[in-house]
Amino acid sequence: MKKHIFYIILIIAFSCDSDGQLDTVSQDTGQGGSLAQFTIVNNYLYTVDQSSLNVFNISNLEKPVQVNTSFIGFDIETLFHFNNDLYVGSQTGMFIYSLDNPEEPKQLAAVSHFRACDPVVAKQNYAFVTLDGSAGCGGTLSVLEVYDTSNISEPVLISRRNLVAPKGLGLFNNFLFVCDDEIKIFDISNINEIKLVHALNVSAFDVIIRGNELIAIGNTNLYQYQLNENDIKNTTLLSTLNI
Amino acid sequence: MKKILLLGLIMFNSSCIYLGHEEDDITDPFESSYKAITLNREAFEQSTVLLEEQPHETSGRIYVKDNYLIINEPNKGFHIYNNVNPKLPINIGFLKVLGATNISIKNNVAYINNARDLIAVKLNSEFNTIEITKRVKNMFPEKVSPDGFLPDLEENEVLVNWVLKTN
Repeated sequence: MKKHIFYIILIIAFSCDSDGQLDTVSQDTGQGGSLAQFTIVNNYLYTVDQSSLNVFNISNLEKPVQVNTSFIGFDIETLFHFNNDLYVGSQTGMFIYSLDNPEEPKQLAAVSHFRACDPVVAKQNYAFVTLDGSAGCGGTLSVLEVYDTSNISEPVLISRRNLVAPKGLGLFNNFLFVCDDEIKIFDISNINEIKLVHALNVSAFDVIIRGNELIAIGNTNLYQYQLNENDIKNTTLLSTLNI
Repeated sequence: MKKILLLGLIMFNSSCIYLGHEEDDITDPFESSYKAITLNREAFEQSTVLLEEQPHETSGRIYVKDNYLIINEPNKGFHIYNNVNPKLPINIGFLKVLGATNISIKNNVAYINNARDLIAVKLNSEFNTIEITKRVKNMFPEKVSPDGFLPDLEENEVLVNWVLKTN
């Protein structure tokens, strides 16, 4: 019990939020960035709005049927799924829901953090969260946080580093891409010693990584890169689209 | 907590003040600096159409499905690109969906927030015909203005966007 309280205090004190997202993307379903608020898992569409998580049964694709809605908090911002879990990012914390019963998501964890904008991605055992204190969500700290989610109902903050104004993020094998003042690429193969290995000097607020391709969107340009897993510094700019 | 409630109530109440007087001081704390853009429901439900390519104004969320790259124009719709060659994405049109900020696609059906409604939109493989196959009405909360106001709507009126008032 004391241990639990300790963890809770630790989490509150250090504030974090982990949202996970690693969409298990099947071929028939498209792919969004880390700022998405809609996600499809098998025969269900999940959506978040300011305060609710909604579930639609899409067994008949053309006729979605709303099957559940639940109040989950205020200032909900992002939604991702990894494995059989949904990760919900809000301006004040992160929530993890189990989809064991896909029509009734069950809350497994709620982690509070200081007030900030907070998209998230997740992979097996870890969740990565950016908190952008520069974006008008309240708060002033801008950080990247890493959570150990091996016990999914008790995420534990394992590291935090200060960044400039981190926004969207994405995973590419053992690399984490973070949209900061430029796109920063971290080697996360050793989770206890995350290192910057490369940076793309472009301004972007979100990324989609699909296969070996990186799509990054900024306020004025959309960039597409070819990535090389074996030589992460060898990124080839395929196109820049002025938008 | 009480304080938050009180603030919420103040905001809610103040939102009942009519938003349209352009001579008003836009710094008035009890009136939004934004004008609510509304349509009647019949016109609103007919407003989802495919258009020629449209100029980009504000960048929203991105989505990829097969060879298509989709860029949201917040509250207006989606720029559609054929991305079969990522070295040369080609703008092939604009899916106008008022109030839209999110999309998710499975097979040939897109799910989009159309203001407060969720719509299912059937697409063909060339992305040049669309059909709304279902509309779940009033699923989503009313959009709050960027400065925190709710609209004062007539019955049958749908809010689709907020634009900065021009004085």
